Amino acid sequence: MNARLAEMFHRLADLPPDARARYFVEHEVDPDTRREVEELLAHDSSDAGWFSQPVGISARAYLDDHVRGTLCGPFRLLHVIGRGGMGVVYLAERADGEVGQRAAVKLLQPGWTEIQRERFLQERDILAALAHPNIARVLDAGHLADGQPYLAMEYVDGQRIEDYCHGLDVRQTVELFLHVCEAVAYLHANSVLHRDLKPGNVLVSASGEVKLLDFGNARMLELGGDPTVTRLRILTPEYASPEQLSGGAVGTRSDVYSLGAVLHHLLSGGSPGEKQPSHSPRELSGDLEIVMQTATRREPEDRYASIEEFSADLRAWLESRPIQARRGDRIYRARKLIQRHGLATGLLAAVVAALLGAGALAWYSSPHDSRVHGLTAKRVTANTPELPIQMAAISRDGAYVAYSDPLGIHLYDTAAGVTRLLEGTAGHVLQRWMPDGSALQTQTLDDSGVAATMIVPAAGGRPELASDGSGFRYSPDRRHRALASADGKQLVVEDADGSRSRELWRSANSVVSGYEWSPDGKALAVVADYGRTSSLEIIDVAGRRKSVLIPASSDRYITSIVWHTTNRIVAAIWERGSGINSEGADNLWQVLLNSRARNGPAELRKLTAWTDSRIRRGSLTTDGRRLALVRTLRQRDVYIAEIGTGGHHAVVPRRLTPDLGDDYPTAWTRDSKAVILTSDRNGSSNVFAQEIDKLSAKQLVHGPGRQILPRVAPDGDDILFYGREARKRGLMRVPVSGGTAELLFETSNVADFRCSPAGPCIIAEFQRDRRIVVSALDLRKGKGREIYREASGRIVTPDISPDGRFLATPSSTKIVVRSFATGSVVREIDVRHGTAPTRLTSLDYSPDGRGFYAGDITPSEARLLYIDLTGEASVVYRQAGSLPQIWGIPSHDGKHVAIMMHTDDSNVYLLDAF
Amino acid sequence: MTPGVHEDCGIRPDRGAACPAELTPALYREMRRIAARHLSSERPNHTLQATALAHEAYLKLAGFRQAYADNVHFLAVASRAMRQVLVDYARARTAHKRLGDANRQPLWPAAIEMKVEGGAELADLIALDGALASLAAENGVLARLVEMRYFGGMTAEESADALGLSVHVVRHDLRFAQAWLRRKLLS
Repeated sequence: MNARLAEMFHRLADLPPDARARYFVEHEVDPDTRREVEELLAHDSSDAGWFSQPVGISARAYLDDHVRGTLCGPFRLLHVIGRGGMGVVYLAERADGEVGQRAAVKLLQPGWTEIQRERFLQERDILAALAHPNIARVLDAGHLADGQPYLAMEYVDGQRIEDYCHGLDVRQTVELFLHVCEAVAYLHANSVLHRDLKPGNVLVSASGEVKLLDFGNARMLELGGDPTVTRLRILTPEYASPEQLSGGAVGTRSDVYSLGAVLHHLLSGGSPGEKQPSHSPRELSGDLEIVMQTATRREPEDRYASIEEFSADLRAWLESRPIQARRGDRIYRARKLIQRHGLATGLLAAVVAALLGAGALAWYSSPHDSRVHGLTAKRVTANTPELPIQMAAISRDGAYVAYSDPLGIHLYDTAAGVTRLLEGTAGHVLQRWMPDGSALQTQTLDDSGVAATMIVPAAGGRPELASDGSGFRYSPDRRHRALASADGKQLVVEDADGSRSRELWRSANSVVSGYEWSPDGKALAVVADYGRTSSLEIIDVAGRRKSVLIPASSDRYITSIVWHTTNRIVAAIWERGSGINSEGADNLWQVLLNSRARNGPAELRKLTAWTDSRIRRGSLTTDGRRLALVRTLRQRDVYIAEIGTGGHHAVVPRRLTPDLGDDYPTAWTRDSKAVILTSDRNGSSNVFAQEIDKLSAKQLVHGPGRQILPRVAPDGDDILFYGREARKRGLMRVPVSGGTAELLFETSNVADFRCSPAGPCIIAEFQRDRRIVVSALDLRKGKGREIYREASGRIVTPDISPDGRFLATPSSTKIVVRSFATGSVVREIDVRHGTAPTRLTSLDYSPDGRGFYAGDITPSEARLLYIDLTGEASVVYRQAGSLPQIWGIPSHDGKHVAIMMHTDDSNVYLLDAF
Repeated sequence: MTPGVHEDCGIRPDRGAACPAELTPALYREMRRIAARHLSSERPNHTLQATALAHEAYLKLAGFRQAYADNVHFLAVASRAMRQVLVDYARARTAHKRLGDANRQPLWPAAIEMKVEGGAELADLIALDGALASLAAENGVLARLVEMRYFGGMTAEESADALGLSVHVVRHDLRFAQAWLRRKLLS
């Protein structure tokens, strides 16, 4: 390595760009060296987490794997079965006795602190005092040599209650749920609050017994100290009560809320107010709905006062007796009506009377938007992926939400719910509202790509080029203004009149990606961006005190912030996903600045539980009551492209499925008129047939759960798919014309299956070691002889040729063809293309058997290729951008191909009553 | 014997290259301390698990029957051992769970979708190890500094002591080495 590199790097690392440029010129540095030094400087960062994270996490994983065999009292640890906020749970077996008793042993996470140890001991004490058939029993407790406490509990070999309930009807589910209520009522009778009731904490054993688990967040009601705030644990927003999430006083009614949310989830598959019910609306309407509504009311005093009252109404429902909640419900609704419409109290009696008289009045429909934190995230725009929204901002008085898309700047009137487009704003990208609310600051690009800042009057009128002062952000008290330097490395504050300018913040290795004044105008919150990570800092306006609220860490990235109230910042934060396939997601978090005022680290609480969304940088804004944001959801859609005869040239596909759910095409009907696809548009994966000339699809299979991999049976009359009937998983059949689905035979571990029009079918199944076994498939008898198994490495399932004689599997840059009869490899086709395909991810035989359609992913684009039997490839369609997947299914008449592609739709969401 | 570890005997020329004696219990305790540092740099704590990691690394070290001039020297050698233990482990784990491509099939039944905790970090660790090897080929001292800092949890002062450099130089070199590695890993 050139020693000068390091030396130059050190000299230049802390200099501003212009000084660096000067140095290169003055020292006559040759272009190659200069480029290398500049590259290295671009990668300079103080984020140590970038390196320590992989080491630390690997060490933890290593240690978890290596505690096997450790003795905890009479138990020997086997392996990790669960991991919570602060504890790790291992499966263990009895080491001392003849009986092969198993236990779940809980230990603290490596690197535990004294506070965690105390909490652990508290949990142990609480549990040890409990004895109830529906609560997992303590078997043993003690300490290890290093002082770490352990807790051995009854090991419940069972299913999560939500899985168990899939096969049950509404009645059976409610009956089972009453056992959960009994356990929680027992806790309350013993002055214990569970505080973390959710489906994941309730198991149903093989014998059908309900067991309540995880008391890591439980508290004694009488315990002094701080009974409200949960600092060490991230709550599950869907099940935590509103008062828990907002840090209010938590009592037994908080557990009532969580139980109500659990019941709602068990019956509908969603959290309250979310998603479509999996049971028919008829079953859930009426009294049962009212019982659940009553349990999950926002205000604790509006809920059932105790678990017993809740259970009593559930029993009343089971026995078709009148429920108690109905009376309260009408009064509650009347009160809500009055609150909403500001009716004088004198009218109360009249309204109540009217409601009591209207017995048939339907419960007003629960909003079908995603409810978080007791809030409703309402989508206020419906832009398609072709017309993404770039930015949204709520006006200071809350009257308007401004947003921009390629058509221009729109104003959404929050009271009237109507939107208008501001004239002459095409190409404008919204930046923010001007402080007085009369105009909007926008940005446009001129022909040479230089950005101009424009001011657009909100009342309509010609946009004007902004004067110089527009870059400043004024403090709410109008005493100061702040400006970030063009390179983002510096933040300057001055008095509102431009005097006393001073540097407030400067960084050599990060840039300001966002900053916000505190509501009192006394401090600034700054997001410092280090490239792959970012941190949140607060600096008081005098520049004396600075604290880091959220340090930079490689597994999160702060996208946008809004300073909501003096003690509360709301941030959109990207978190690394937990699975390999997961790209991570943005969620809303609240950062509470406690009384020790702006002296970090702050208390962080997750407000939303979105798993596949991006929030645009700088899009969070609020008027104090409402929060506006632009959220991008990645969805999978089916596109249809025509393929010319002979050639397989690129064509412009049209979107076949314009709904907002994910759609996956898997087959065509034999007449080539409809694409068979699975779609999650009803909250569960169902099979649909979408005729290519129609707008809407016909749902072939109904019901909850995942129905996947629909294929066409050899005779062309039936659709075969992998699904579930009652509690049995297996291959199922439904007529193409629709009708009742029937289970052909039970099987699990299905990776894929395919049928040829000529008759033979194959099925690919996972082995325990994740290898794949491919077997012949007889639709009457089930799995037949094994054809071959994939030794190791990448697993892609094969397609069967139209004549039923061959199996073809993509393997990186070649296609391996095997004989259906013998399983032996008959040929390997090397795929040739101008630029070699990087990786084939899917393969489908063309209907004439003379070639294949293959999905292919490169770092910069996803392509659909047609590959003939000699390996000559041509591009049918390409989509730029780093995409996880693409695939194409050709129609039997050879005229069309159905393409699965990823599209991102960006829309504005409003969170009310924030 | 791994060449890399053998070289460590000569890590401090002023103390000679001979490595005759054995690891003492005191140094074994030090090993546990490193392991604990790994798990959480802010919360050093001796745990059962940290002991297990230390034990594994200890076995690797004990095999070399080397002497360590002092704690700092030991730490330097231990960081190499720690790197080996963790990278070997990450390789073994990811070999089992190389599902990146498989998981791209969104149609797979939920029951057989597998989540690999820390999967990304294990892969990152292997990549880091590879980049470190490239860096070592260019400049051994820079690679050792990164290894000491992140695998051994050593402070700049300790690294300076181990390599006979000034703390100032260590800080600068570490910063440069990190930029170099970032560039290598990100491009």
